[in-house]
Amino acid sequence: MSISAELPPRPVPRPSLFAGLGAFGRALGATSAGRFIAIALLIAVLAFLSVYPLSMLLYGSLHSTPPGVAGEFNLDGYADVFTWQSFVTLANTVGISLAKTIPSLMLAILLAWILARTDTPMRGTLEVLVTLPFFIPPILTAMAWGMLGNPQVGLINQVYQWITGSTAPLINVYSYGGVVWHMMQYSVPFLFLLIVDAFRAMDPGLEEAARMCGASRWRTFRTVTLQLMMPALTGAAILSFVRGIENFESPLFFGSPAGIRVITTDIYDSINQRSPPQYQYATAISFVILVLLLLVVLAQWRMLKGRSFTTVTGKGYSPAVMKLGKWRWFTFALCMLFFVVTVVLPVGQLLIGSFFQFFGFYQWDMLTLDHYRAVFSSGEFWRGFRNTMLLGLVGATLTMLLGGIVAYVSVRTRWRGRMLIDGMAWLPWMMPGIVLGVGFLWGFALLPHAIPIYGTLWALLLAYISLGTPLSVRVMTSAYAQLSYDLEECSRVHGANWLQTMWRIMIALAWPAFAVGWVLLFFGIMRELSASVLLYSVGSEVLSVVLMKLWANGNAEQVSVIGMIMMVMVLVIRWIQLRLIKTRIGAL
Amino acid sequence: MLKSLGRIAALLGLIAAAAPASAQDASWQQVVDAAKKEGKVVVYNMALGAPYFTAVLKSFEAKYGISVESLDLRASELSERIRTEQAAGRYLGDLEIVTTTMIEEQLANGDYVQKLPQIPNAANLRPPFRATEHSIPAYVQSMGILINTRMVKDEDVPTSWADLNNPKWTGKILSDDMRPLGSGNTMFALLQHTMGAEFNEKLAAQKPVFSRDMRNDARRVARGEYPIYIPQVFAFASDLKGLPVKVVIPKEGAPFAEMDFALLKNAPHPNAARLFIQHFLEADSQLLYANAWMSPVVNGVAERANADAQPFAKAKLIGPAKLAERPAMMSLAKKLYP
Amino acid sequence: MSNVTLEKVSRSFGDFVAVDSVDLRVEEGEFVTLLGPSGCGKTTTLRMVAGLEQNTGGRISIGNEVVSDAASKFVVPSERRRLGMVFQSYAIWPHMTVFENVAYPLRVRRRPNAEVQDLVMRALRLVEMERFAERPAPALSGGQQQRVAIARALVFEPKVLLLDEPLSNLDAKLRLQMGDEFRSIQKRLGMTSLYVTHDQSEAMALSDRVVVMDRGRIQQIGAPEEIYRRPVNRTVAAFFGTPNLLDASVESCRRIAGGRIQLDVAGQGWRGPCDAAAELTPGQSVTVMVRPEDARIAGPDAVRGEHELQWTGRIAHTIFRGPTRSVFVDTEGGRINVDAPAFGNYAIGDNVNVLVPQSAAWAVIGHKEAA
Repeated sequence: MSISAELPPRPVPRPSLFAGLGAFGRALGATSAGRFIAIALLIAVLAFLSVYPLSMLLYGSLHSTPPGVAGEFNLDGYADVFTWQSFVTLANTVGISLAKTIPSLMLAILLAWILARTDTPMRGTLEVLVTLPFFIPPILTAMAWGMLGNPQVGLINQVYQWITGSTAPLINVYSYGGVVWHMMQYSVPFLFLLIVDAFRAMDPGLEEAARMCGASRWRTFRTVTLQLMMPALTGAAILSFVRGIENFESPLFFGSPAGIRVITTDIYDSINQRSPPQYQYATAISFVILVLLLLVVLAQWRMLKGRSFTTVTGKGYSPAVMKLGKWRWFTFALCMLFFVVTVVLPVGQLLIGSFFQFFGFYQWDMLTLDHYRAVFSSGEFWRGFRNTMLLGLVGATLTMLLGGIVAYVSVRTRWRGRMLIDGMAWLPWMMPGIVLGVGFLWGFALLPHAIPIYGTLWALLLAYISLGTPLSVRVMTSAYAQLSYDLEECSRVHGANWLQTMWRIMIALAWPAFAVGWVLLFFGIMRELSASVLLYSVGSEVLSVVLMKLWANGNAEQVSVIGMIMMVMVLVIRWIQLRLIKTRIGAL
Repeated sequence: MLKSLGRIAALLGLIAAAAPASAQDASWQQVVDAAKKEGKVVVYNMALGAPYFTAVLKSFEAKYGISVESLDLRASELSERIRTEQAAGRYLGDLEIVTTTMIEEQLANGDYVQKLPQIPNAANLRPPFRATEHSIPAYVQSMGILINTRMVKDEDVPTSWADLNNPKWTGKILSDDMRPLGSGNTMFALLQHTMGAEFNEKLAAQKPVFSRDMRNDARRVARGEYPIYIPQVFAFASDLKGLPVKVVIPKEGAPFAEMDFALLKNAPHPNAARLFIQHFLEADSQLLYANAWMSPVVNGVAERANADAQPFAKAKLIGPAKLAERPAMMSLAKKLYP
Repeated sequence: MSNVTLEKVSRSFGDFVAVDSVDLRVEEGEFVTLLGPSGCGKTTTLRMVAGLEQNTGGRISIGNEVVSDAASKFVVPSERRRLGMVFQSYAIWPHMTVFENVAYPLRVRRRPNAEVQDLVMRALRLVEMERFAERPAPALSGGQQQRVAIARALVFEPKVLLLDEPLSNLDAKLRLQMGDEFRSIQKRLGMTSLYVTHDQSEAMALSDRVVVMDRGRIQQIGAPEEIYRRPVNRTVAAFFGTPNLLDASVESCRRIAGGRIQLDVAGQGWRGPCDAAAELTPGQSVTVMVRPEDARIAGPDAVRGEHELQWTGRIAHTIFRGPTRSVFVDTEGGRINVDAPAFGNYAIGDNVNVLVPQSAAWAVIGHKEAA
């Protein structure tokens, strides 16, 4: 029986680990000076990536004009924020984000449990399929859902009216429901990806222990499984909530026609549709959001403080799955339903549409491969593709490494300053993307000219790392929180230095999480537009800018073609990733 | 009779277009030589890779062997990049092609642009277009009404902006949002003048549905979500052949947004920039625009456009909008559409 | 092989002193066990030797080489102390095979492949796990994981082997078997070992010497027999087995042959001589330890022998334990637990005498309250 005695935290406080950083090596790690240098280095890196652009924005919020223009310091921006209208908008935003985060989380937990802990048929395939929606560019799904769910001629409504003979539409995507629904398509797979490995890595012994104590299956799930997943779940939920607050596409496409205002559309308007752009207001309201979101993060810190969540111990376990009997077909159907609704419906539209001259006009004489030809023969597409691949590979890898180090320091050491690092790593996510992009522009452009960042690929790379760090830190934090200390200490005692331990044990054990984070970041980079468009230069075009240009020129069908290419890439990468995980578990 | 008149006009246009070329003196040749020596020109623009824009760039590169670096940005991003770069002492761009009002704004807020050198083709601009000290027209985007031909019967097709206020269309009009900056507000402001204040009030009572995605809106109309969309930029409808939609040019005329060239401060390639402007205003370049259903800004081009493009290239224009009136118009729109 | 020396080693967490000025020397090839109840500081001590925790006071040396000195803030990190360690949880890395787990200490030291292959297989043979080399580590039973952990700790011939309650997760039978196996391997290799456990029988069976710790302090160091028979205080006495601890006071004290010290003590309803570790003055309170296996039950009329102590009382209850039967006798001096033959004739309520050889009674200073 491997019923763990690890559950209550050890009475003895955790030791400080003698650790150094990277090439500074062992001697460095063994001394407090080395520790100081290591932490100072981390702080410097994070400060440049997140605090520096934010400080530019802070200046912008306190100054009547953007950096570089004569003006005066005042609080007008903040005065404009604290109005009844802003409050209503803010409440609206929070409401929408909660309305999508809570059901998304429940759905994601259900899917993660089904796919990681039960014997549902074809779990491997389903796991790839249910995550697909996340990787489709939002603008495409927005268009697809507009076609499916508009109240006048939406396909779903037409089918509904044909079946029932009713004349009233069943659904209208141009509504609160539509905004939430569109967001959920992204947040469910996002949350699923963040938590599924926590479910997979869970020692069933801990659950068995609860069942032995007489707890029902449901009670076990509630009191043990969920409780042990708290760091992973709350971390993921907060990320998702923050994303909801900062979501832009869904409210823009589905909210504004219905008069729904949220913070991001408000910011967008204040920059893009005022003359001159109201940067002071845009940055001020962003800082108000930042403070509010930091409070949420602090609440999570307090909640998780002093608790142990070790589920992966050195004692080994056999990841058993629950036998569901005939119910497994029900869980299978549930996953398929999710897949059909969130992927087949919208992507089917896009896929079919990409073979016709125009979306939604499916006539034989309009059947064409022109869009594919146009994309594949476009030099601009390939240039953007190359740059994006390079930035994606390098950016996602570096971001995950940085996130791994930050997470390590913040959850597994007692170093002074680790909370600061953790907090700094959160910052970029607290800032709406449109505004943060401006922060990077200001920050990089105003660097001394001798530092060749502005106007080069470096600017994009650094911005992507900054934007991705919060996610990578969260992903690695929950992964580390599950690993018992013994595994690491054992490595140190047996002759491995900090770096070797990090690489061979910590990264290797947290590898599934590392891979998931990597995939999320990679495709995040592929999609990032707000900062990219402000930082790219001729020659360093990226795919998202190419997509934006195609869209702006009415080539929605070509955008779909690229969307399809991205989907194929997701399928390939996810398939490889899951196969690797499987060979490890399958060998047991 | 009309035909031959047209032919004469075209001929005149050709002569007019050719005039600066024949007048090309040695000093212009010096500009060309200097431009070639500079080797490239960097253009900040909002065309976002539109095919007609790219075609003009290609023809320039082919003709002079000078490469064009085109940085495609949306309006606010473009102005902010220029502002930030100049504040940081980075003078990377030579030219910008932006709305007239944006240049006015730049002039009001700082010295982001410099005075234009003499451009020979400026002499060929057709009214109402004219060059100023700092700007010279590049192209215009004129706008009309888009209808779904399956949903709007022939007798119901609006021929005047006023027809939009027919009760038949209540709740059936899809419109670009008129409150923020953009074509919706440009239309709103210009029609306020041409049609009178009452027009906009009545239109508001029609409860148009606002959208922000111009390129998707025409397709939504084509798919039958709404029978009518305003304002339809002509150029954006030129690639919708085969769809059940039609662009109507109301009899009062088409409101337009004008895109102007301005020379950025400390432009690193001033001669190439100057040559590029000259090239852009050549009749052949403007013809590429006219064929994409846009009004050319120089004489003698509209007449040469393809048959289906002719009505749009020749459309009567309403405008331009003035920067000074913008705040008032934006707040009026906000009042009418709370 | 090396010795291990701890000089005045302390570890405090804020105000809480987990380990208080520990002095200990483990000789080369010696097997020393740190024994004590949980929270006594034994694991912290071991972890300080391992370098997983830093001593806040004192100095630790391995093989006459200082590895940690609190005064000069000198610390050799864990990985350079050349140690082998077996963790309570085994700390088998779940992402590696058995082979790779064992090979790890060699791999991180960049030994050539052939040598790794050779040494790992030798270590696995030692623990009889060579058949499982290619198994993924999580697919092992507890005993097998334990063997892998031992093989890993031994594979590169560490200076010192550290073991942190390695048997505590095994069932009773396996625990005995693994313990014996481990001890024989240790003896064969002559490996200096420092072992932490809270299980006294384990400590007895395995160790050359046992260090009893309580509340961060060393209570007694000695051979298992010595600690068992001659605990220095009540705490140590109480820790081994379930001895009878009877309050008494000293009547006289004398030194007898062989330097031993003998007391005459008197308790409630009994009196007699017993051995003690130190000279005591008459009137002092002592606790007399009598082990159940040293006592025997006699009839109500039995008369004690010359070198025997005697208590009179009634049988309160009995528990059958297989080889023996625990008989609890209520006497004036308190309840006495006797290991009696399993199938003797004992009825509850019988009046009996409890007889104990005087040499088996051992007195330590203090009463229950003072312990």
